[in-house]
Amino acid sequence: MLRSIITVHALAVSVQPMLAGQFLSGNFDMVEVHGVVALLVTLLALTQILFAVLLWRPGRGPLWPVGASLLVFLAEGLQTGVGYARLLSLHVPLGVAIFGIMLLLLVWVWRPRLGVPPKAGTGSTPTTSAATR
Amino acid sequence: MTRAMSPSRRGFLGLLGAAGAVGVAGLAGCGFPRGTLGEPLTSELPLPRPFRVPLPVPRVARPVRSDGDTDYYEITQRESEVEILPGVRTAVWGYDGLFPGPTIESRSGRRTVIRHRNELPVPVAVHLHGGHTPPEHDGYPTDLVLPVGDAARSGYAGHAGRAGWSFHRGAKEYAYPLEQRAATLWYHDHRMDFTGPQMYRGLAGFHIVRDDEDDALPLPKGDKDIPLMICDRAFAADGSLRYPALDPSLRDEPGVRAAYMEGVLGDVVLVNGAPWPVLEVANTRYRFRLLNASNARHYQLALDPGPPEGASFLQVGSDGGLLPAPVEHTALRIAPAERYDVVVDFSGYPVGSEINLVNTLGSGGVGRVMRFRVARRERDEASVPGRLSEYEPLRRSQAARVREFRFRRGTVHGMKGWTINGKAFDPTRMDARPSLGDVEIWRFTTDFHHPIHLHLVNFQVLSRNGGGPRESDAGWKDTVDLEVYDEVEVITRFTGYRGRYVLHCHNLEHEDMAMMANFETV
Repeated sequence: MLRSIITVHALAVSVQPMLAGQFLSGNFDMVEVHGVVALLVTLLALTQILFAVLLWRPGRGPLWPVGASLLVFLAEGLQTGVGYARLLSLHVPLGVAIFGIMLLLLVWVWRPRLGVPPKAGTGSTPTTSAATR
Repeated sequence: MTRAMSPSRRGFLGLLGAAGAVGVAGLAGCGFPRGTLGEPLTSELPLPRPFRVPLPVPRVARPVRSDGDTDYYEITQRESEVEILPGVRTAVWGYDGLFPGPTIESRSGRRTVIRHRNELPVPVAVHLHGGHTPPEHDGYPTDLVLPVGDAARSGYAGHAGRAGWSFHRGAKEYAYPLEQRAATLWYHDHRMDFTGPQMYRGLAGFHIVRDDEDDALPLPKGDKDIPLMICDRAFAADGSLRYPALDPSLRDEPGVRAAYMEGVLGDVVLVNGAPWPVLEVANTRYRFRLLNASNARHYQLALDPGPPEGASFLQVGSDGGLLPAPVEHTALRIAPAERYDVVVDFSGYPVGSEINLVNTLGSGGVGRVMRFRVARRERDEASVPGRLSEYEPLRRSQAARVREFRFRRGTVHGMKGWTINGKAFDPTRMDARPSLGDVEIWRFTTDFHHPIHLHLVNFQVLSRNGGGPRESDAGWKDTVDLEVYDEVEVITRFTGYRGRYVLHCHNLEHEDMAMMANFETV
């Protein structure tokens, strides 16, 4: 489940610079879509924290995704505020940073897990922690 | 590891890589807008190959008579058929049927009176852009010249008696004192709600003011002093100019289709009314008076290839005439209605060279503007001195007050439009009352790209986003280019005439959709 949330969240985040680019190059309405997607992104970040916690306890997964998800959530809150305040000099680098963290989380959540031998007969099989993942 | 990876996962990782690349490209796009800054219209005709037609230079109008202190001109605004694309007839609305209109040349301080007769099917107003003009001659948007013999038409006749509107039947004399420095001015239509489509159809021309100071400089002169009116247009299948007006007759219902409210962009770049023209030049210096007469398109002009040494453009003047000293530019961003007076030196190019004037904000057809071909060798009589002019730089401490003007998308008569300080334009509402003689700072903020123009006065750019002005902000200006979420302060002294004037966004679709405000000098 965390995998799905992170995937959708990362996709939503990656749409944002494209919408911003469209706005800057002349399509005014795109800034309104950019705002709506920002709200969606923040909601996804909250949900992601919830599932990161579940992966940790009871899932026996690592704790750091909780921290990373919390960091992304806070950064996105700040990013939305900075965006509405029109502080482009902060908005663009912060956006790049958020995009970078989401990219790392995405790679982590989809990476083939080394050292976890697959069950016979199937390619990728849920492991204990992947059940919540 | 490979065994552990399901086909779907492998496919996903591939997708992820692609999404990442697109995302990064999008982010890069953030910092470098492609500069379309509006909604593109596509021509329905095959477009001509660029650099085939010679650059036309608009003819200079002759006064019909002159007396001790005044030159009198007569211009008839009428429709005519012209050949813009080779082999295609295009109906334009032109001053004397010409697009661009005839160039008016005036001496500083010598009165110029132009009688405009309106043989078009719609009302018009003529604004001398950059002119220091009394209010009744400034081409206020609701001070209209009605068509000859057609004064009773509904639509505009319905405005009769409404506060703030006035009408002239068939013709009007515009009198310009021109007590101002030498500068590249231009005249164009300014009819309330319809400026965009009427200028698009061809109602624009140069008005050059000359004075002794400018004449005395050794800058390129005569046929090496050339005005270049750059604008973009799209063509319909029948050869007419394509524009997304709600009412193509331009009589009653103002506005453009909703998708075009950010501004109308064409796909053909015209210089002096010719598509991607070519100019044969000598290997000497030339003075080009650049004007962006497009409705909405911004250009970033550059020479390709650039000169082997030195800057591409040596700017000697701006909207309001000579700079104190020349400024070098390798690229020059020019917003609608801005003028840059530049000297280009072709002496570094061998005879036979072809140099393109390109627009680096555009790609394909709109990435090209025109071509220079170095055709002959000549001795250069001209030069650019290190000191050009002198004027008083206005200081923040001189300002009697600061006013704020917020240029934003907003609601106009219940529909999406463009506003200043949250309000749609209303000819009866005064938004500022500066006193004659006072210095004021006007602070503009934006939510989008807005080139902001003040009537009556020239100003100096004081600051941009808390920092200093751009190099291209130098000199006296009447139009200043603001980008998304910019804050620009300009400083000016209100002088001359008492009365009602406008300030507005010179993206004409924004202007027509109410992004205009009044000020009254008292």
